[in-house]
Amino acid sequence: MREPGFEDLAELWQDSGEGDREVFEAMARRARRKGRLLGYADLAFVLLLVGGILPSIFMAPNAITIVTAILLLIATLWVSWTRRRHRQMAATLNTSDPTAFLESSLANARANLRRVNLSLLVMAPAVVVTIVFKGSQHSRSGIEDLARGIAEWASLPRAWIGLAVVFVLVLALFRSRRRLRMELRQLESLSLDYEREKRRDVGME
Amino acid sequence: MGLLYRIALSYEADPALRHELVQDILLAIWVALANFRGEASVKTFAASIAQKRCISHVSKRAREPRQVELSTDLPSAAELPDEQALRNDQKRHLVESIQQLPVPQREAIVLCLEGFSFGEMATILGISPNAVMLRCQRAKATLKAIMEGRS
Repeated sequence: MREPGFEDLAELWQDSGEGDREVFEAMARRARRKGRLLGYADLAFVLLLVGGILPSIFMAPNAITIVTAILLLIATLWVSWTRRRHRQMAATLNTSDPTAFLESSLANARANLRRVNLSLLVMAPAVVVTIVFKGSQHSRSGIEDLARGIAEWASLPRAWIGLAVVFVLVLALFRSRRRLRMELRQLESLSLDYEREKRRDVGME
Repeated sequence: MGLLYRIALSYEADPALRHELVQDILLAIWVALANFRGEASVKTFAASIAQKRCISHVSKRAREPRQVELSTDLPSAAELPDEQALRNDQKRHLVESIQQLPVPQREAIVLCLEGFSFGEMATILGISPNAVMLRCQRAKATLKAIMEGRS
């Protein structure tokens, strides 16, 4: 058997991995749908949270409710803005060359890791603020009656459901942190590969 | 269509994950189309995005890729079963060897095998055509060594 030349390999390669056209077109349609849905989901998320918090400002029984509601509003808008910025960044990464892409990916992964670390740090005070917010809604005379309001809120099943959701969120953040660290290591290793290859391109190795 | 499948194939051996990767590439192309100014051909634009999505995929992969048997193609009526079997074996051999190349050489050899010109490859890889030529030579030599080592 003769050894295949590069043209034979190219022919062999172009004969590999050809998918079904219909499957591909269905995938393309799904991708378009997913892209639109992501945009709508972001908007719905903001509207849902803002819509849930705003009425409590207008129907606020006391100052604590107003302050905590404003804090939650600011947090919601900040999270949404960060998500939007992140998506825009990811889109612009597509048009740069691999080295710039890797640098941006590294910066992105580091920023994500910082964001997850920050979220983990912010989680505890956020839970406290939320508990105070919910307790204040159940208290009649503000700060003096707050402990009773919190106790009343804590006796509701939805309070425990909410806390369980927060617990799951913390677990998810730890998982995300582990993945991001791994991604960062992989990207750094890839970056070294590219550096080595670049040095060889200009005959430095 | 085949181009995107083949680029994904060079980075992902698992068919299910490869399917997800192609889906991810398509979504990235859809998002990036708004930025397409027509400076390069659509094929170059799509290949460029596909390569980068694959790099992202490799960096996000939690574990080393599973080595999965590549699906054998349906036998062609024009070829005898023995010839088809040999060809499938050669294809598998080639794909597995490409998957072992370092990523920078892998992306160069895949574009080379796809028939892109050095100029187009330079646009996709962000290096000079001269550097592309050198990288392709090294990638061909490494691929040859891997293929010989495997057989």
